[in-house]
Amino acid sequence: MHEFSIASGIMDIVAKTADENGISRVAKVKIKVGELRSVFADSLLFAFKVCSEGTVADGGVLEIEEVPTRCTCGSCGNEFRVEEFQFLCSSCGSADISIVSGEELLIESIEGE
Amino acid sequence: MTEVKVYRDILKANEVLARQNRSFFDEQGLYVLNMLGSPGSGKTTLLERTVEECRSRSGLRIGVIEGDIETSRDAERLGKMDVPVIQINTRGACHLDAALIGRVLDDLPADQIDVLIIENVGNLVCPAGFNLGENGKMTVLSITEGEDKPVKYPEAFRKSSATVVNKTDLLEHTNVSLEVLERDLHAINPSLRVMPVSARTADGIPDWVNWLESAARDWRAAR
Repeated sequence: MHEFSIASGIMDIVAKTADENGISRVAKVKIKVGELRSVFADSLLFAFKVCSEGTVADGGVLEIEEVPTRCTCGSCGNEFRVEEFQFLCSSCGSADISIVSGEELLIESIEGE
Repeated sequence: MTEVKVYRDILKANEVLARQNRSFFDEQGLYVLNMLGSPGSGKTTLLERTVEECRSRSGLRIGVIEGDIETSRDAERLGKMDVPVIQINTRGACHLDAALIGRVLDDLPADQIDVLIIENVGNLVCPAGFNLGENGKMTVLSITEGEDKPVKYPEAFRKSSATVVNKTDLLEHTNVSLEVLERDLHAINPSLRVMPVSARTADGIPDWVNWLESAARDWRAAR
């Protein structure tokens, strides 16, 4: 259900960006969503459809790029994809790891005319 | 057709408000914890025991913001104990956000509170994504929910500093192994402090309050 808050956040930025750039009809909104954000794509697409109705983005497409969780290990330098939320180095088992990607929640671009 | 590059954080508006809340908490000297957990995990009962334990030690003065979809039942329970409490009803929304917290800050009797605990809406998914301006998050997980909950809802546990594993008095009636639960929690979050508790019998409550006291003390020392 937090997908509705996210869709409404998207629409705020889309409306403002379209206005600033003289776009009267938004055809596409590209966003990046990290795996760690627990966003369910189908719910977000539905929420976007509802939130964009009657706005500059009515009928526009929401393109969601899902970003996998990747970490680097502070002990051995290994960079690895985190599987099933096991936040331990896949090579040496260390817990000294930092997240490189997977926490994104951003609008990349909008397209329109 | 024009393409405009945007690169903006979708929840930026919430982050800005969360920072304002944080400034308020800092000015008032409040250590703030955002409490997450499923409906029925025992969040309010844990708060009642926490207040009792703190009072018996003449220690921290707890204040509470209660987030619920509807009703003020949780706030009434704490109000009976003379705990400073503010109820927020989200009217259907599945999480608190920084704007909802910002609106009630003026009603907080901050001079009567050392630690403010924000009991979020019962839900392990959505509240994890919304910063309220807190110093830290903690989760309440009851063993009757089953030992697979951390791996099913990892985000709440990954972002928490501590997890209280509640209802240990019912352990013998379940298939849950505390060892498995703890192992799974630490795979998701190696630095997570895990504390088994029974809020019903008060077993384990002193450990949890010790943790709370030291977290608040460390924060105060670092200011």
